[in-house]
Amino acid sequence: MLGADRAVAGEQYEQIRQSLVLFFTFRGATDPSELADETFNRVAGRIDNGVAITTQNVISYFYGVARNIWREVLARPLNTETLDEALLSEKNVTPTPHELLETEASEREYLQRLQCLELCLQKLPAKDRKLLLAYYQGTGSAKIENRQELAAQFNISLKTLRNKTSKLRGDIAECVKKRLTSLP
Amino acid sequence: MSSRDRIVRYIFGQQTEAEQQQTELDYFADPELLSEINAVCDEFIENYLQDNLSPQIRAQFTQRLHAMPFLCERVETMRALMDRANLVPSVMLSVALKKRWWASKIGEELRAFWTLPRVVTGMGLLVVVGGIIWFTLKKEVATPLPSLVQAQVPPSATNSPESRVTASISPAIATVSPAPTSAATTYPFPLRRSPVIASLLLSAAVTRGSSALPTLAFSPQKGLVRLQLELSENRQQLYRAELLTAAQQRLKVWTRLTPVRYERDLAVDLLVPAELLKEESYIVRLRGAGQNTADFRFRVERR
Repeated sequence: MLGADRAVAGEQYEQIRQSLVLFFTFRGATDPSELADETFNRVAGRIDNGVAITTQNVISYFYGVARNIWREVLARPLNTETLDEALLSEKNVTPTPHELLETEASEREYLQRLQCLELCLQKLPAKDRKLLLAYYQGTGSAKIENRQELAAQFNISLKTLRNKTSKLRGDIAECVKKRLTSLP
Repeated sequence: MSSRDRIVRYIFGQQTEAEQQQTELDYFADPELLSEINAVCDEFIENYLQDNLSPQIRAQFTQRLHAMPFLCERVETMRALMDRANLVPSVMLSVALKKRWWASKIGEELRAFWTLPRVVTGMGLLVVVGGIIWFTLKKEVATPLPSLVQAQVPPSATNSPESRVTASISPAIATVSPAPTSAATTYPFPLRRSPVIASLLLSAAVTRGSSALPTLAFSPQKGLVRLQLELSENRQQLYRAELLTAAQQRLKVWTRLTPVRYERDLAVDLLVPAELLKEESYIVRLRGAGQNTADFRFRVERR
């Protein structure tokens, strides 16, 4: 389905995955990564079932499947009166007053996010991690100078630097989201 | 229309369905366009966080954030990343401590000691290092974040990263109209949120045809409105909620909501920015496990 060359196929996969994540993000999905994975699974399932996808139509094929999945998400049942009792457990009961919840929960969430971010940053190659952190250092004119220096240091244009860090930040956002979701 | 205009319209949800589909198909096929959209989106997020957007663009972007949960996720991660990048001195402290420990010459003497109580010592060290990280982060979270960027060092004083992180915030990217910012800008996403200006308890029993919908009346333009959704089941689970207009347009989404116990009753609390609510009817759709939902209807009256 994707290119025969492993490296090319890897790049194609990454391009399609990122496109799917962006597609689901701007359609309003809560978890675009999950839906992107679902799209891949569904396409793989169809291939297993003998559907032939040529390299000419692979992009539009993924796009079509993604659109169908999004339609299904929107069409999920919405009109039952009672709230489901499954997954109910007393341990989730939070007796904390609302005002405390508001401040403490947001601080706790933020701390958790910082911790997840730290773990995700550690998964990046050291060079990328340094680049990403350096890119977001400083403010105002110092920040601009900083980015110019970084571009010069890596021998790339400012635009390439911006796109590269944007890609890294996208990966980090997905990683952080996954880690936060898996927290108890 | 320039490529950038097209991207901006896509990000702000201003394209028609046909235009949106074409943009989507184009970026599926074109890695350059995909990168460009992500980068432009990041620019907006960065400027949003540094308060560099004009009030009008900021309002539009905020509106978009409310309806796009993962875009919010991107904002939150960017915020954490910017804080982390500018937290280098304090975070480095714990790393430096670890490095110094490993690099120390006392390794010889410690080797025997290290082999036997290895686990205990390792765990002790982890606790200490973890404690330092926790204490550092906790302290910084407890302290209003602006203090991290308010120490006034002229940007030109030195080019070292440490000095850069303490420089003041100012407009950075000229592609959006920058709002004037003072040297010591307050952080646009404060940990302490806006005050709650009105509150309303809602029950799912109120149906579409009811003549008297519960009314939420308030006057200030800014602040948070608190909605309490009374649960019919006195049990717990995680919920997802959506705020919809009467015409089913989605305004805001909340996920992983935990109910709060009020004496004998359970309720899910939501905080809605007042500026999202106009004088009309709304629905909050609450979804529990198994996709079962309940609708809570109310009306807004501006005084």
